[in-house]
Amino acid sequence: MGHTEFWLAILVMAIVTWLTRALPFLLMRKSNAFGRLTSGRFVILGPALLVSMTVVVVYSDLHEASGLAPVLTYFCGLAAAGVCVKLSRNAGFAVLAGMAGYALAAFLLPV
Amino acid sequence: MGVLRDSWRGVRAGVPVLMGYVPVAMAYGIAAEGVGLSFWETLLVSVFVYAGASQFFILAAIKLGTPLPGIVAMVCLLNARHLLYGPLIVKWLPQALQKRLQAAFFLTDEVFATAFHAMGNQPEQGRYAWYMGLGMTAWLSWIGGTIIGLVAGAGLTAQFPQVDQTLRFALVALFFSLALLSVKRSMLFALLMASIVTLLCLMVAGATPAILAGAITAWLCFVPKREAAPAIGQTPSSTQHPSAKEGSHGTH
Repeated sequence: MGHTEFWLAILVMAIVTWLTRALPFLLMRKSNAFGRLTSGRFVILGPALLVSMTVVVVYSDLHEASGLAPVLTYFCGLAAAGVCVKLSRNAGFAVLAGMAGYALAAFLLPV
Repeated sequence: MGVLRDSWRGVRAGVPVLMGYVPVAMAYGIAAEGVGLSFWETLLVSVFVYAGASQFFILAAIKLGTPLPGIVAMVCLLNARHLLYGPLIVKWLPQALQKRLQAAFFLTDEVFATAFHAMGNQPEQGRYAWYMGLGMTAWLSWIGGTIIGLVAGAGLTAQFPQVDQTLRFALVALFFSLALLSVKRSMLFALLMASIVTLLCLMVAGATPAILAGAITAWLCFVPKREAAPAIGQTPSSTQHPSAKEGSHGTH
């Protein structure tokens, strides 16, 4: 790929990426179809996206893990985050607790 | 002062995203150096494209010599899930189109996840400033991580693998926590089905189709909870519509 073509590709991809995020805002002014995504049965879309993204990142990480120790370490981190979020209802604290649980398990469990 | 205070709250909400972005962006910086991109080429991709998965795909495509239309088509597919994010948070954004289009630039997976959970809890006047604080924190941490990766190179992550692994776990913990916080009892069955479909789809088709398939499955399986029949003496019109109740997640 030549220098000009590279920059053209980057420019096009920057615009395409921004458009996928901005297009609904532009279209919502013309049509009510996107607005319906926040009511009725559509209220599940937000939680469903979060759950699906979680499944994707967890599976992708565990798929690469070799042996039992990395998997246990991973689940210790998830458990710590899960318990903390249930107790505190605060995602920031839960992330810190998850990282602490992960680090502690990685330190204690033999690889 | 109010804007600064709201922005600062957004910055604080973005700290978990920051902790997850830096090591991933470092990995991107290191990988970009590996395929022969210059410092400025690598950095400007992070500044303007600002999309993790797409950026790693660009590196792979450059390495393989993929033609431009092919790269653009794949980036469109990779980003297709972003089409759903805007409509789900728009009720918390200002009416002005210009501000919404500015907000769209920062709307990554992690920013959406954080905003979807917390933006409705912010004071109405301060939501945009809060969102921009969150978005800027995430964007700058992505750029900062790219620079660290370019400057420090692979040596840094090789020297401290435990720290690198622990920092990378921040994004997993963030998604997991936000998913737990957003789930309601009436959604459990639909979300379980969505998880199964996502997992199956992920094994055969990749991340973006899996996420979209999961969202569609949840929508198909979800039945909004019905209200009980109106009590004696209560007029039917005083009973809230089931969809109105289920749809009351935000403040709109």
